[in-house]
Amino acid sequence: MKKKSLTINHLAKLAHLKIKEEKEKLAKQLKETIEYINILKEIDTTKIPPAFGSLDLKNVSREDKVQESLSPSKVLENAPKKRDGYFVVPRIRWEE
Amino acid sequence: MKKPNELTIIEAREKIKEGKLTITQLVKSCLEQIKQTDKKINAFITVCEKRALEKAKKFEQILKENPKITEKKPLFGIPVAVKDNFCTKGIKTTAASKILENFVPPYDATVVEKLKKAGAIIIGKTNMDAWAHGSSTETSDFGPTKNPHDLSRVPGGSSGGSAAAVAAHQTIAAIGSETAGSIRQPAAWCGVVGLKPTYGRVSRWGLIAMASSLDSPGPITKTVADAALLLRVIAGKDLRDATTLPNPVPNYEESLEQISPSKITLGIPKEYFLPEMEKEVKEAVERAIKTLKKIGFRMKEVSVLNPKYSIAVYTIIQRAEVSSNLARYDGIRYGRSREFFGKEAKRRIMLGTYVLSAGYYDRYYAKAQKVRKLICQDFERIFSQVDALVAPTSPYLPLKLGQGKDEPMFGEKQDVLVEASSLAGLPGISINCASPQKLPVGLQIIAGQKKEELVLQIAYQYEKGKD
Repeated sequence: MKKKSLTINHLAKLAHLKIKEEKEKLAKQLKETIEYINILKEIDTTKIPPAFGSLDLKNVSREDKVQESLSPSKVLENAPKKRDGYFVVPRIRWEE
Repeated sequence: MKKPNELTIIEAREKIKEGKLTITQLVKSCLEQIKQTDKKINAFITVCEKRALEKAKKFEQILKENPKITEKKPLFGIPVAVKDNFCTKGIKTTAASKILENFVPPYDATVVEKLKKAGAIIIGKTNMDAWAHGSSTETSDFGPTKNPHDLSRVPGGSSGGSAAAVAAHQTIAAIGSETAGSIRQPAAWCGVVGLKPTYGRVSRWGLIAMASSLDSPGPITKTVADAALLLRVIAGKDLRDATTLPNPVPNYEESLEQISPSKITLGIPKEYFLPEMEKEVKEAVERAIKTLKKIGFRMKEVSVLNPKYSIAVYTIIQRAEVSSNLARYDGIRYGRSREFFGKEAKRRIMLGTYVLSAGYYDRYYAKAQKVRKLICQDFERIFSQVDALVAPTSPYLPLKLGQGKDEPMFGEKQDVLVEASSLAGLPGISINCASPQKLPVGLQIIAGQKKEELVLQIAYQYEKGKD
């Protein structure tokens, strides 16, 4: 039990999520899903290349031409905090 | 006589052209229907009443000055509802999540841009499963949508609002998006036509991403011909979405009749007739197959890869892409913080993070990509034997509200019959095959990549030939 909770905590940290009261239930649901997806073990894929998508498009590029894009004020329109034309982000550096 | 809101795109367009119906009458008729029915159905998150009426008035003036405009603009004055995960400039776009409750995009998605260019009037933004995570529209943070055929049942999802709005004649047509089933399954359960195009046929630019290697925008309409028309408007290469197909867009409407059924072989995949399939679904689909035979199509039973593997492949790939796509919601540039994610989104992000993390990547994600390849190869094999596949869209009738609560793979299991074709990027259509007065049942038609024309032609024949 203890190990499973640790895994949930670790995953939540990686995913930047806060998982509080629903932790046990979530662990159980994840376990069920993982058990289901394990059925893929039944299929032999030794010589099969992975499909990263369904199309065979390769190296799609466009002309290197300057195009109209959104103005900085439009881009910042929905930001909860902004200053001098920048997004305000939480402090990232901290002291150990 | 039909009320204006009950018309198809093609009927409404004719009436406008002939001067028998004004654009304002048409828009008002849809808005009136929304007012009368949406308290119960909840198909819309936002209704653009003021904007739509202003547009209608303006368009009427343009039409007066230039009566030929309807020839250039195939949707001139036609109300279209758009799923709330397509960005609409100046109109709130929420993806049915509290995180984006107040998000007003400063730009239009390519699909919306194309609709507007064709003369469509955006009547509103439709409800959906939050972030398109679900198959019932119950995970919406703004309350579930109800099935217009039976309010105690769900409309399917994730494009449940779009399908319900079309079925309830709150709009003339709608746009949905499908990752695996999100257009076809709600169309099936609401008794309307839903077309999922080939991946890349329609641009994803400005569509709030769920699983980027699968997401496909498409039309939800009252008839096959309307779906053909709407697809022609929204399809095409887009420099802003590098996965869009460079192939020219055919005139799907004009080619609807260009098919000789006796030269077409339809495959019936026996694995798609699951033991748990409901009796009503089985009966309706078997009857539809008889109708197709009567029309003159050749039928052949075929065997495909067991769809249970598609559920697993889809779950892994979709969760992985979801966890990566939803990483952008940090509450810094737009939207609220990650604490506002609902249970379903959290569940998906967690599993996606798991299958992508060091030590598990090869076992799950890489393995799923390989089986995805096998699924693509399986379809290649099938389409060397038959021209298209016909099968039920869903094994079930529309479920009762609350039936899938707390089942972590509820949506995936509901969509068992559409996942494989989505993983292979194939086009598919769902059309109602239930008897009138009965709960809707979807018949799906799937063909090889870029074969939207064929899928539409077969569906059109069926629509004409069914009793």
